[in-house]
Amino acid sequence: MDRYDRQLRLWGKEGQSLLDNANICVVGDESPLLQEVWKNLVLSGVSKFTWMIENTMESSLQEKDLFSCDFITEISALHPSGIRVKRKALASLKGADNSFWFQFSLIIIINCSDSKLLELFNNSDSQYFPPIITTFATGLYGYLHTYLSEPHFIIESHPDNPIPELRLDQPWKELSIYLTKFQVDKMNEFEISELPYPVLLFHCVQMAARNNYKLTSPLLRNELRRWASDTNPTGLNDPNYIEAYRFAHLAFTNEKILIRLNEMIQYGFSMDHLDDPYNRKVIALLKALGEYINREDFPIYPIMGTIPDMSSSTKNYIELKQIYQNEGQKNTKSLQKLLDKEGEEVPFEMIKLFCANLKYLNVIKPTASKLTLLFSSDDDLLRDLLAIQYNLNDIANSGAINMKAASMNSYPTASFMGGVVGQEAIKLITHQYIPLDNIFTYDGLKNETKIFRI
Amino acid sequence: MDCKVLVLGAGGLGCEILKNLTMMRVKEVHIVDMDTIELTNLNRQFLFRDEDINSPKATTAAQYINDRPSLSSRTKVIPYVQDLTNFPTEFFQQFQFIISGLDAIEPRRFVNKVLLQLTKESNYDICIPFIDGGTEGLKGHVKTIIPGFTACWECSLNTLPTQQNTYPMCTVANNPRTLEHIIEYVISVQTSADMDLEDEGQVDTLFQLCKERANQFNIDTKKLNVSYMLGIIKKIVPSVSCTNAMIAASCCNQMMKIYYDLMDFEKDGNFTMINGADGCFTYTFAYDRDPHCAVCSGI
Ligand SMILES: [Zn+2]
Repeated sequence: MDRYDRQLRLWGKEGQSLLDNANICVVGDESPLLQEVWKNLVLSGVSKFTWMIENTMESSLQEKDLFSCDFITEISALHPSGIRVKRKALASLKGADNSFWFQFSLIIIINCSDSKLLELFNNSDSQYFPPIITTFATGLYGYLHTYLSEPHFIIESHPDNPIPELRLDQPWKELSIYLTKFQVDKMNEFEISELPYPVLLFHCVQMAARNNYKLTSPLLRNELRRWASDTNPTGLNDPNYIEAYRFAHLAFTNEKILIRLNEMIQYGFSMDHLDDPYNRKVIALLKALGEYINREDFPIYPIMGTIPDMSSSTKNYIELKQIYQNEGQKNTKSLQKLLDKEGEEVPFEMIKLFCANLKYLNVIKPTASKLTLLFSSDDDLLRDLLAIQYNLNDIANSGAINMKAASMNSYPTASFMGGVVGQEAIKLITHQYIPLDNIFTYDGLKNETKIFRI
Repeated sequence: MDCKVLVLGAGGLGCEILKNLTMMRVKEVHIVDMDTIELTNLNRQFLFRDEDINSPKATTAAQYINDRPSLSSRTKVIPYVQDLTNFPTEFFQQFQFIISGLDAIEPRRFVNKVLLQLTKESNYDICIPFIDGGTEGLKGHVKTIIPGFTACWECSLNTLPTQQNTYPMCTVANNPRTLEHIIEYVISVQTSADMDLEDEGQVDTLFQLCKERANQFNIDTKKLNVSYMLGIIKKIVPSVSCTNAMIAASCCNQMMKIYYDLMDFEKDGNFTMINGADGCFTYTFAYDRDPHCAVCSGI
């Protein structure tokens, strides 16, 4: 088994390889939070780091605050081939240009105490920055802010319960031929019990169509029950009938998906020149998708090409599955053809993933063009935390922070925030799962967290 | 912190909890785990190194702290490599807190029962908070149990994810459609119950059987490899350091709040759920006691 087996089950080899090759810029002095973030990144497989520190001299921090006094050596041992850390003085950041920032997958600014530093990232000349996470923890409180200078697209958002796409109301030729082949009316109880539920639903949809009767999902349910009670009452307890009844709504194409995809496509067209290579590929895919959807008389998008397991005989299920799979592959290839015109090299694997996850395509839009906009938030807890972090007197203590809780041992809180930062870093680097957008606050006293957008 | 804490499990959560307790300067921590270290633990169980593989988790974790003077000066760690259900009731009585990072159900039911009995028999003289953390992929939970005050572990037993992967036997035997069905059949029908999943030869035999049966039913074997097969047989749950860190930290913050009297057992939430797959969602609420609970009703 692989060392990373338990996380490969979450983000696969592709995700892991993005982590293996990531290069992260860590800004901040040694602190429990920095150490916890770093530990999580190394454990996930990241090994390349650039560390920006106030002064590159020896650490001024007392060992009492840290889990281990030489933590770089200790965490290096957590990676099978050790980690590489380039140390750089913070001062060298001034005047850094695009090419400098391009080498990083991510920038993480930890427990920063100088607001001037944040101004370096104010995006005045639409400069490119990789995603920037700023974070701070004190007592039982902490926050995290994700700052994007470009949109962040997610192809694999891994929904908990993905909804299959059957298209029984808009069947393509092969599907229609296959589903009509079953002469359900002439079948006996046993044969009917071996049919996958889309066959039953299609049968009812067709019967209604012959009577010029336009179905909706409640009507289809009625139709299905009526048909089964009339012709095959013993089948009412068969698992395939129960599934058909339960999933009747899946017979119809969900129009909302097309609306959503069209919004995405328009958004893609509005994003003219993006610097991030991943984004450029997604934009090209979106443009090709726009053409794909609009080339037919009725708009249709590439099908996912998978169906979930369902009650059925092996043979019927495998045949049906194959028909969806073939159509999925065909649609993917058509999209690939349209993509050729976009002049952007997109690997076939990515086109496949794009089609297979189209329904769940997601984007986090870039944030305001100034990192320092953080200070204009009217959230009480965030304002109080910023006041403590940057030693600001102009922000009054709002009472969001309990003084006793603020003075308590902060190590577990640093560890909690280190977990959130690590998780968000992984999501941003792998383009899998949906990152939080874009402020997260933690109140360990109330055991509450909050997400809002600046 | 002048107290004695028992940590159940020295795995992903256990390592995190032990580290946090050390950083909180808890005087003495006892840690119990009967497992040994495996390669696939090393993506999150950061107190262990490659050379520790096959060593017991509890002693190796304890040694990590005890060997480093900067850490051992704050916390003394005592390991136990044994089944915790063999401990007598008196053993549990010496602790002020018990924090669990276990994934098995029975040991947690056992500890819960022992703690409630202690509270009952001592007429509330002994009341040891039991904080239970659990993770699965990017999700996790923390339950805080104050025996006699809050819902106990048994009260919320039905919140556990239902054991999936149980397929009707007729599907598995006659109409297999997925690799899961194939593997289930091979395991329950074609192999003996005492097979050793650590033995490469036996695992390979198993794998060949799965492949043959999948081919026989024309089931796509593109996804089928040893790791996929073992995942299904062992019901492997994905696990990553970040989620473990968040859950373990929440457990320790709960403990700290009780210790410093910052928690209102009647009002504050005792159940927190975290999900990091879409944004970072957390939900804390007060889980009510089950008046008919077999363990805590009448206490
Ligand atoms: Zn109970």
